[in-house]
Amino acid sequence: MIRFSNVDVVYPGGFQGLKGVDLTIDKGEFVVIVGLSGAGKSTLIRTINGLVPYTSGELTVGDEVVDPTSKGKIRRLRSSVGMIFQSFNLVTRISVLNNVLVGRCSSTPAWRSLLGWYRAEDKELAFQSLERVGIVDKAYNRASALSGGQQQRVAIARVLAQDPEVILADEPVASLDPPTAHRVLQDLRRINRELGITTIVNLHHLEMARKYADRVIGMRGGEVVFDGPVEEATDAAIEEVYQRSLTAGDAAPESAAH
Amino acid sequence: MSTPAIEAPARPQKPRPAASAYAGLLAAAVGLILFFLWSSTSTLQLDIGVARLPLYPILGALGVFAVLALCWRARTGPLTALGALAVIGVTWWGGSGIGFTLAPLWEDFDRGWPIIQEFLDPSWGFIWRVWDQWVVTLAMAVVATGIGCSVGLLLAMLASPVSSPSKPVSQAVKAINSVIRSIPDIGYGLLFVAMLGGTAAGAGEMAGILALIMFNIGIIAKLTGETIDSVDKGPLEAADATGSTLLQRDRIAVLPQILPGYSSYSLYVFELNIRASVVLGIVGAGGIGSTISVQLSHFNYSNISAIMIALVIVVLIVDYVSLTIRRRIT
Amino acid sequence: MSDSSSKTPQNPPTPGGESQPTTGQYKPDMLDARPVKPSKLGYNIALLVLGIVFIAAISATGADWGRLVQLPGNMVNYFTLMGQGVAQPLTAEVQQHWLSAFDNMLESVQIAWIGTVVGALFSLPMGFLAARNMTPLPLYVVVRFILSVIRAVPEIVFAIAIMLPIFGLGPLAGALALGISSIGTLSKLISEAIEGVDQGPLESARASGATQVQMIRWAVLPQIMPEVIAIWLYRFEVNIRASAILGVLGAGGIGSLLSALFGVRAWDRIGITLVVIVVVTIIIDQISAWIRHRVIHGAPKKEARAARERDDSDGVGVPPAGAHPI
Repeated sequence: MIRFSNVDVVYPGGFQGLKGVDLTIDKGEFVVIVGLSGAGKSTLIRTINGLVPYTSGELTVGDEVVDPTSKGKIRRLRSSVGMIFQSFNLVTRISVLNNVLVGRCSSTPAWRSLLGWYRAEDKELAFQSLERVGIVDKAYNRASALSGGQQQRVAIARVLAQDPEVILADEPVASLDPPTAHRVLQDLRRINRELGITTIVNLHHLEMARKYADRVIGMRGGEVVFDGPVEEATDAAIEEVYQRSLTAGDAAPESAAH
Repeated sequence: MSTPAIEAPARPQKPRPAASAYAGLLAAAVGLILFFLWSSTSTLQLDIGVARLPLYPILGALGVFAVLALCWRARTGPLTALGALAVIGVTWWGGSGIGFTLAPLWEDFDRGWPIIQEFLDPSWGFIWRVWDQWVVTLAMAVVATGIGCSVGLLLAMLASPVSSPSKPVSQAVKAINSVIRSIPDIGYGLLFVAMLGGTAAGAGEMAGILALIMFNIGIIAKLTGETIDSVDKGPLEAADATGSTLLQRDRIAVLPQILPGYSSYSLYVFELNIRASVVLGIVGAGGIGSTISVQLSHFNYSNISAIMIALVIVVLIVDYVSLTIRRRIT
Repeated sequence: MSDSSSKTPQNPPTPGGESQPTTGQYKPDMLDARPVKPSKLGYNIALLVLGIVFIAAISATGADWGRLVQLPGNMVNYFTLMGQGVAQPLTAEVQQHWLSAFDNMLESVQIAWIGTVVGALFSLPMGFLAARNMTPLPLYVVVRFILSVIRAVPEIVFAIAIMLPIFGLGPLAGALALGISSIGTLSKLISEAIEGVDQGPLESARASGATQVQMIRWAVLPQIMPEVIAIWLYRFEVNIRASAILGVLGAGGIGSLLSALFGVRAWDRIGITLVVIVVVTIIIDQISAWIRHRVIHGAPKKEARAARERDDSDGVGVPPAGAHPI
């Protein structure tokens, strides 16, 4: 499904984001990437949909090679790769429904977007996506009126409206309190199971990673230093990734989780 | 004072700007004063008995030393002090250039008093006699605001790196915008009156509208451009990640964010238009200004006074209405 | 999250979600009832009214829209003339034209600067009097009213009504008219800056028994000064344009030159003058914008360092908002 072969990312400033990453992610997997700040987790995720162009090596998503130089190809790729952000990235001044409809952009003609006249089937899809994350009752509320957890679920609905094959989630719960974080991850996990969408998530909290992942990838200094099924992600293995002993802060409070 | 003496560690001294920097500043000050003496064209002299000294350079020198002493006392950094000196210098340059003096206030007050008296006695009846010109003025302002703000929004979108298709486009449109903005409304008024003909030729309104449109584009493009520059980039990234085109991203992620600011700038521009139309009328573009121009040429100050009172009232009403609308928008 | 009740199992899930999801397969249960679309009637009526006002205004201006047809042709003609004026070889006479345009522009700058200084001197005390958190209510209301009247009056009115009769036709009258009309806007903006100050230092100053003057000097002024300087500079930029307006009345500067040139239709010199206006105004705007930025954001070195630190905290080129927990 997604294949990195010897992928490097060098930022314009000279900072090396990824170093020789070799990775294959299969369809339907739920992969969690762990690592310290600056380890290259975000870069890895953003390389997949071309938000960060890779500088050497080869990256394929589906059957297509990702070509960061071709705007059209990247746009087509992004239409089938949804992304969820730490800060939700909703347009807070418009309604929840309109935010979800942003996900339909790639298949909506420009004039419809300009006038805001979406097709009935796009709206239907948006409603279904909202139903799937359980906040359809807020469809006509302003996004700014929602709590953080609700906003992140709207963001998930926006991704679902894209009808994606891959969902990328960059620290989706880092701005949320633990119980809400668990709710959001449960949603993602359920969607992964129900729809078979390949899901790649960056997480800081090791316990959450262990709870939801099929497979854990550990990164350090732009390199993949651990890759294995969740059972193999023992404390010792993760300490190796972090290059320090685990502390209480690495584990999320479990008390409030469902 | 019975506080026992504590073996205190050395307290940090308040940092003092380097004396060498202030020596440099002193040199700059001397240079400035020499400039005052050299460029002074004023004939005003200060008689101190022994000699007669030129008044303006002396005032300037006093200002320079006062500022320098103040900066030294307050221990401002050398750069700020240099800025203060520069302000004194520019003010002196401007003041002597235009021959600044307040003397006419008591010397020539009698000459101006009759005119001011006429102003204080407005002919109220005149307000209603020119109501049709008011309608024209307001209508011109509405049309110019509508067109100017639409074009301005487009140019602002093209100019901001956030929403522009490419860097060269953004740079080019930015340059165009600052050229448009740098010509004052009166310049546009003169230009369009000359090109189309003024009130006398029956084209005053058209010229006025065009001048106001250019004036509006300049302001809206600047203010809205700054708003676009500072929008939350998150939704833009999200729109990018869904594979939207630039146009879609601008419409869906940028426009909703700038809409409150943009609307309130548009209302602000509408107010400015009413004020500007006074000036434009004087150079031959239509509206209430042309009435003022006619009355001015007849030295009919009490009529002008009436129009101006009406103008203040109209502007205050528009100000109030737009404030209410702005409150509802944001 | 507060709405834990809204979470219900959603069955049956759309099988094979990657195929185009179709309606009908999905059966929402009661808790998933879709909300009714809120009415947009008021919004639509407002839009409609706006449209009607705009169309009515077009006809009410009495403008002769047919004249627009001849505009492009005229523009080409006159712009060619102006371009020729700008591009003509620098003979002694042409040089004189450039110099006189430049001199007049400098005079406009002088008028604008003195006007700004006069306005600035009055605006600080007036700003304090117009700030709600500094002034008792009755005084505040009176000062606010005076300021809004000053703002409503165009500078040209001050020039005609007060300055010309006493100071006569000339740059001084222009500068003073600009100064008075600057007081209105400057004081309002400054009063808003004062109202927006951080209340903490104010309260601690009050708690330690500071007088009003001490409070202003040590708790308010340090907070607002950068903003006030930026406001003054911004007004200077505005005044440069406004001084051209007063020039038309004969207050000197670039406006007087421009209206004289238009009077005789000397298009080549008009072109030269416009170029001088554009260049000088843009240069001054740039300098002023640089100083404003510098005053508000501090030295550029510091900023660059802060930006680098931001980048370092996060290995990603596009730093996501919010701090990282690790």
